Amino acid sequence: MRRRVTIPLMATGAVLSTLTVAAPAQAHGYVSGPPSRQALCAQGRVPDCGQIRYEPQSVEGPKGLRSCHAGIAQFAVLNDDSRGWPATSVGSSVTFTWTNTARHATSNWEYFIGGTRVAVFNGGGQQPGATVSHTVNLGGYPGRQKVLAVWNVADTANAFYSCVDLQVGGGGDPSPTPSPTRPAPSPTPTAAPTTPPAPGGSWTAGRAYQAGDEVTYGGRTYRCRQAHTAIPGWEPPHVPALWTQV
Amino acid sequence: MRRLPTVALLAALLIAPGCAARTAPASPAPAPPKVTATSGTEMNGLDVVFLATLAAHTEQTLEMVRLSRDRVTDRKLRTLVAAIEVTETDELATMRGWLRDAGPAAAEAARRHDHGDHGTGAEDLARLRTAPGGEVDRVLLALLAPHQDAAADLARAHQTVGADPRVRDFAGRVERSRTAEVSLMAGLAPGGRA
Repeated sequence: MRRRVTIPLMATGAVLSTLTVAAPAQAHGYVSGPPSRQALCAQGRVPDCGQIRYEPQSVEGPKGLRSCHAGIAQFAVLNDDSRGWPATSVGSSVTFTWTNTARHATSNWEYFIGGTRVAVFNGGGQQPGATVSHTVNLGGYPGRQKVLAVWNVADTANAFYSCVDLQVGGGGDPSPTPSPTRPAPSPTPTAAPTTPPAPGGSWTAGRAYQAGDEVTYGGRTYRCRQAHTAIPGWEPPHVPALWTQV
Repeated sequence: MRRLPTVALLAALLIAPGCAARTAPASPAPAPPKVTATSGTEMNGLDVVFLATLAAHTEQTLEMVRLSRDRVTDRKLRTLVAAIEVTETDELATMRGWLRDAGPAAAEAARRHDHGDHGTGAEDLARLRTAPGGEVDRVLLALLAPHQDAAADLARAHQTVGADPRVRDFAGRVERSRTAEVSLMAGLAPGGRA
């Protein structure tokens, strides 16, 4: 098995080598909220961005760069201020959320406007969560701003870069920003484990079922295929490994 | 419709030759859920990134399960682990099918990130592999709970940025199920014999 895993890695080695200089592992991350330029490309809200569309998390380069594209030629569109990047309207306090598709030990996260570092958050050399949020006060920077967010990885020479276009201080909305991706500073933790689902039936989250047990859910009857404790997200229609419709 | 599970399996083989052999036999072979909803693709790039990331994360879950399932002593934990194995095996097939549907460019990008160091590291897996009999429950809980919590995080974040309603719904279920699993695991005394 171990031998087989190396095959796809080797096959794509040529591509990866242009992105990662000395990094042994693939640390990846980008600012998902407010949407960074690469997130806007990936969402298709800014068209014709090229390769970045499917890898917004790969804007990786040596530490210390101050560009939006980490100097990677095929991502140069990210550094092109004339592309009409929509700016997200925010208040003076902004919560940036990184989505980390690989979670590497972190030196720190830095935020720049122009040449000025406006915030820094220590990573303590620890592995971050799958998502990381930082609240930055941009009260001193009203109006349209381009924020460069930098994730400095602790155990490689590299960093990840995301540029985020903002309209700071509420007020005007010069480049109308579609609302769906307005930042959600504190995502609401949903559904406590024992909350029953909407459609109802005899199926009950939190109950232990044995193979052969029958329940109703959404007007249909299901038979348990394998013993388990029912939980939200494992409603019978969604988990055919656990329930068969009778 | 009958052909679709085969297609999903094929996609798994195409996208990740290194993984298919490990994941396929684990399933008691139910049809992957929701494949019937496949109708073109409304996926955006972030949907693709999410699915590729979670697919790799799920492979690690299944790896942890395989390394420990026969040595877990607590009955409730054993039941939970078995249910995680079959549900996530199906989810993995579904994710790979959607990635295939998203087209060659997306599949290629996904493949490039497929075997990276997502979530739980190799040392942790080694710790589980070498855990002595009496320690397996404790080590598994210590690794699997934060691992599933990370999946819930990814899924939560994705629901505000994804485009494809199928993927968003799926992310919602992933968030809910992983969160509930973490709660269940918190209730299991490490090494206890319920």
